[in-house]
Amino acid sequence: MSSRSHPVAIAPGGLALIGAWLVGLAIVRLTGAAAVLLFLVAALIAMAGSVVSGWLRLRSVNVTTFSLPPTATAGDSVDIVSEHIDQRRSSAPVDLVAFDTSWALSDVGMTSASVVIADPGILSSVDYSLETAGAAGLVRWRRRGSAPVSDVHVAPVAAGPVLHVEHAASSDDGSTAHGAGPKTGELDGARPWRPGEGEQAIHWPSTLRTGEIIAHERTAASEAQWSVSVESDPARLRWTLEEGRRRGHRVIVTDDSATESAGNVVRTADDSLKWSAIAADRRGIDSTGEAAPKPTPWWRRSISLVHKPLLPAPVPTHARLLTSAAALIALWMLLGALGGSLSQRALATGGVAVSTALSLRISKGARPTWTRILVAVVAVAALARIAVQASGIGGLLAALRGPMPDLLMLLVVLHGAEIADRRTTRVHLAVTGVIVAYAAGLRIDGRVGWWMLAWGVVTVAAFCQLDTTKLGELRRGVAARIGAWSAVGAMSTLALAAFVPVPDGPASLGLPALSNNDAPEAPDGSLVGPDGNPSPPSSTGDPSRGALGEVGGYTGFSDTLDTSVRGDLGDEIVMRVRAPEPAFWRGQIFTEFDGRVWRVSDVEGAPIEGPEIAIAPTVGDLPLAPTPTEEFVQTYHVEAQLPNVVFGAGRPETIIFDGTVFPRPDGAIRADRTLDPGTVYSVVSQRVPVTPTSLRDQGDLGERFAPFADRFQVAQFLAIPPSTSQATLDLAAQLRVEGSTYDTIRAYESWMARNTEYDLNAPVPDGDAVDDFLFDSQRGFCEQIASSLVVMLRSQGVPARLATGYIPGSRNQISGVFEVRASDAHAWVEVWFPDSGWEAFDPTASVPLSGESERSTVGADATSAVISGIASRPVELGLVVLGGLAAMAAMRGLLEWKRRRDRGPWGLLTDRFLALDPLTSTAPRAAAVIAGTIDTAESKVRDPHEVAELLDRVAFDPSFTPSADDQRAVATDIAAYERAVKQADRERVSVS
Amino acid sequence: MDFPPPPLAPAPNDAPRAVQPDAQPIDVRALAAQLVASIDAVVAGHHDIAEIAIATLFARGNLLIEDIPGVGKTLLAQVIARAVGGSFGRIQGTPDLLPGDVTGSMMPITDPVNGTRLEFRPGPVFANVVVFDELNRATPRTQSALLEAAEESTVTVDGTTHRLPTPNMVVATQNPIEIAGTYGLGEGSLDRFSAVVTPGRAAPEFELDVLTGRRGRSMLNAIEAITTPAVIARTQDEVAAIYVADAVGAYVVDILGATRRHPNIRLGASTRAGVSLISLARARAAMEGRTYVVPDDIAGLAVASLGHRVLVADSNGSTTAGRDLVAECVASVAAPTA
Repeated sequence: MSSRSHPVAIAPGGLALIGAWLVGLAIVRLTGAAAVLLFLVAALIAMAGSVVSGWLRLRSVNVTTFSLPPTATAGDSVDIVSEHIDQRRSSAPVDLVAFDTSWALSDVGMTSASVVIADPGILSSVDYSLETAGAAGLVRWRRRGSAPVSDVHVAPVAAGPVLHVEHAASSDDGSTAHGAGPKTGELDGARPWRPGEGEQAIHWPSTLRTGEIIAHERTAASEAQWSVSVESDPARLRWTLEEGRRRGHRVIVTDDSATESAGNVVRTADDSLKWSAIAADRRGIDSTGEAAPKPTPWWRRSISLVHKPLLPAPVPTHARLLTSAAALIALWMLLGALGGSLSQRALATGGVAVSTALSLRISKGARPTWTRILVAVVAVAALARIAVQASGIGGLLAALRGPMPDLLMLLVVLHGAEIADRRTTRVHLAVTGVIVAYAAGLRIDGRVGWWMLAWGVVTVAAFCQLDTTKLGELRRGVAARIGAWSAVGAMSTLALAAFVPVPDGPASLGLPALSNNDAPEAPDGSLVGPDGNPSPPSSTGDPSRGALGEVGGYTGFSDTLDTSVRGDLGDEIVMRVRAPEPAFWRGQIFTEFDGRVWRVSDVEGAPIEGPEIAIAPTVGDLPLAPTPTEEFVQTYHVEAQLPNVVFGAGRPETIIFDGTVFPRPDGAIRADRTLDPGTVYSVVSQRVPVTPTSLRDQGDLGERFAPFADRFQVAQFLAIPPSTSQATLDLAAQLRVEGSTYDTIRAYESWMARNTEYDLNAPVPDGDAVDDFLFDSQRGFCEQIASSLVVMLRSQGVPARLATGYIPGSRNQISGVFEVRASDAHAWVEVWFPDSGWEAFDPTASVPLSGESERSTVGADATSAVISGIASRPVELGLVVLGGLAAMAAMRGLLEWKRRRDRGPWGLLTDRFLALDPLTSTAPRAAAVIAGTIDTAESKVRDPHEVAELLDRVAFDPSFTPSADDQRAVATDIAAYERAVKQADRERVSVS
Repeated sequence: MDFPPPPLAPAPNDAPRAVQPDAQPIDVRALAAQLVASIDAVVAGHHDIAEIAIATLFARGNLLIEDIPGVGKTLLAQVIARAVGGSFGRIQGTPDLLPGDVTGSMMPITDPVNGTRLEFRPGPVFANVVVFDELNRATPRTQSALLEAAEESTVTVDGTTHRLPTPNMVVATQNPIEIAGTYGLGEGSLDRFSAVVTPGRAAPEFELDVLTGRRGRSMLNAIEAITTPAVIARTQDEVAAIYVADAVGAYVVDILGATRRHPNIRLGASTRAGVSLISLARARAAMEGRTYVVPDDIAGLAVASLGHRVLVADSNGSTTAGRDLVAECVASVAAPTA
């Protein structure tokens, strides 16, 4: 009989995990890293699983019986033996609490402990509770129960004075008279001293001789009889009964409620103890007549925030080592994110190793002074170094890259040296979790997922090993259970993450900015190529193709853009952009077009010094209508040599840049230095969410802009090169959709999609690039396509311009950053919609409108990453999985083969025979146990003793050579025993 | 003092040891069963103790029975002596007992022919079974005289070496509870006993048998000699030839090592302890009709054989601490298997 399980306490140090989780949440807010969010979701699932594991573990254990001695004295310790059934042999320990004493259940189904029974009375059942924290040990669960025991008489400690007793004396002649107690007789020998006797009774000579207290035995002149009522004070009753016996009387307990009172003669100390217990039991019933209070339901019980274990909780060595591995992974991940040097990595590794060794010494009890001195010296030296470093810190990111990792490293290493118990271990793991979240927030490469996975596996393993005292052997069942738990955890993580939206960009507070001060400078804001030289005009007059060949050498990033020149672009990643949604990363804006070459004006912007730079709006940026805008935050991590072009999406409003920028009047932004690898800057953009409907509703822009067409601000976006052919103008007019410029654009795009072809190897145009592309070759690349669209739109009075930059690139779905490659360089069209500002259109690349894109969820991203990962290399992956399985099977097979070879056929049989009873170590003893468990006559098997003798003969009798028949017969017998024992176990379980 | 009459002529021990070629092999199993049965007939409820006692006899060892008074220690010793059928010597340990009282001494003898001369008069130790009651009441000097005689099977008096009869077994008793006026046996002396047994009180039904005379001292006279000392001597030879596999020997070494490493044991079991344990195990194997020793023999006898040979660090006066710790050590060592 037992009640429901309910949680009682959080494991010591468990709160640190919750704290770490909240810190992780703050990191998500700060960095907007989807990877951290995925990490937090996985951590949440793992914590939930760890909470449930205690409940599951508790369900598999059942206490069947308790054995107690039949008598006990309240307040004295007695031995108790509990028997239990554990249906799932797990290494997670389960504690049994009874009589305010807690002890761990043993593996073998029977556990003994020493308890103190506090209350006197007759004990017919034992109230116990089972407690466990499960494998991961985060929340402790308790289940109360009660098991019947054969009556235990618990008497109070005897205490005087003597109760009122009925005296009856029988004289020497046998007649009974009510006398006044016995007369003291003569000395009649010696006997052991009884507790409560005075020192006059002691016979000193024999006491000194024997070392035990010996008392005089005196004869009673007449036998007296004491009778005491059971309805008296239990402690005094016991004292009185003992005293009567001590004086040599016949002592009788009278029980008014019992029909027969003749048998109540007290003969031994146990009798008086029992009567005292009975008296206590009756008193107890009288005083507390009402029924026991109803137990509070589990949801109304308070959960203690910290479970204080009754015993000190040392950390098992393997759990300690796993903790160090987790710390090492976290530190390496952090150093990787911050570009830590090899010496830093070596330092971190060494520090963790030393601190592990120190903490292992501490947990073994040795606390040598030199370790403390060493730790103190290291701490002071490291702090001094950090202080020196920190004095020269300018920006936030510099601090993050300089002293911050050192500080965290120091924290982990020093705390690692102090790990002595499970609480500190859990805190340490929580700290490493914070570091992993921190690093995942900073890391933008694709390996972040693997690092987090490695840390997760190691940490979960450390948690699971923390409570066990022995290294759990990896049996088949355990491995399957671990696999099942991992699968369920991964599924639930993805499922839960599917409801978590991708974080909306980094918070402005934490926007990093970093640039290389040694990079080639462009002090006046003019365009400088990646090599630091002013970029040559791409228009060379030579009709041949220009091949710039550099990574960042896209022709669109120069003052002129020749539509006939196409850079030879590589596939390297030029930058990583952390942003919540895809967008065009715009670099340059071109307005002037002569039919072949786009040019930017010579007017440079005024310099504005960083780090936080507000950018004034330029022409067309301010929407006419009061349209709602939204903030769109991007962080650019430059990975290759790029010119001094500052990229940004939409309309940049604020730029966090470690340097000076020159916002040009046309909307493009240049920096005062080239962007080297390692440069980081952030852009906060304003976007107007638009949809096709909202754009269509703005009507025909040609008509709306017609009144202002002669003003320079508008006219510059309407200028058509003189070389434009009539065919182009006719086509534009012909495809125009009345009343909606948006639909006109779509019509132009679809015409081009039908009649032209995107071709990087298009022939170089001779005359007008637009005419050549539209009607002559009908093949072209993005510059030609975009130029055609601009010219056609301008011919219809719609303000348009050409923008160059990068398309969003592919999004790494774990780290959540867009990986922009050199080949993603692109040119597209921007159209001035008066109600919403400049809107990008592109006939070739599909980038959703800012109001259209649905923000993805972390789970969907991760799932698609996994699926695309599998789908892109199904065969390789399958081969890897198969190979892994085959390797595992081979390893297992090899070990099994080795075992079989080492043990030999008879050794294997002996192992099976001995395994039938795990407590015995020799075959004859196992045989005795098996013979007691199963009925050999009924199940028609050989006597196990014979089998045991045969097994011993094979092993130890040199004159005996077993035959193959012997082996077969023994194998058959053992198989029969195994079946019978299993059957007996099942019956035992079902009976209980 | 309760001296039995010493044997008039010490057994000539050298001759009968040679086994006649046509001698029938001895059925050790049947012999042991008979001996154990006769002990069981007298000493109630201690079958396992009886087996250990007979194993000690077969292993040429000496037995120490350590228990409270009145549980049949002396009776057990006597019934062994009777069943074996050899001579029986009995010594009661007292503080004034001298070594010469045990081993025998030169006595002046007067006869008409030779006149008065000194002649060796053998002590009670010259018997096949020597019962030494209350061993710890004798002085250490006397204790060691007895134990050395038992160990070496010879007694040297006045430069003459006298050989003890074969077989020769000392069964000593002592009361570990009462310590006033006793001389506790040193570790070296204890080490000479192959086994120490503590029978304890018999179960109530056996106690009833004793009280009503169905068993106990009154049955002692009904015990007849089952065998002869010569047969016992041959049995001892056969037992010594029982095969001990290397794995079993390694098992004993492991157990000895475990007693030496146990944190609560100040001094682990000696090599002699291991030798004696193997001998006992051989005897037990022979008693079960086997010609080889199995690990169960070792595990079953280790406590009796080693319990008194370890020095417990913190026993708090417990008389069973050594046995408990040895049992722990045995349980901690994996037994060899096929």
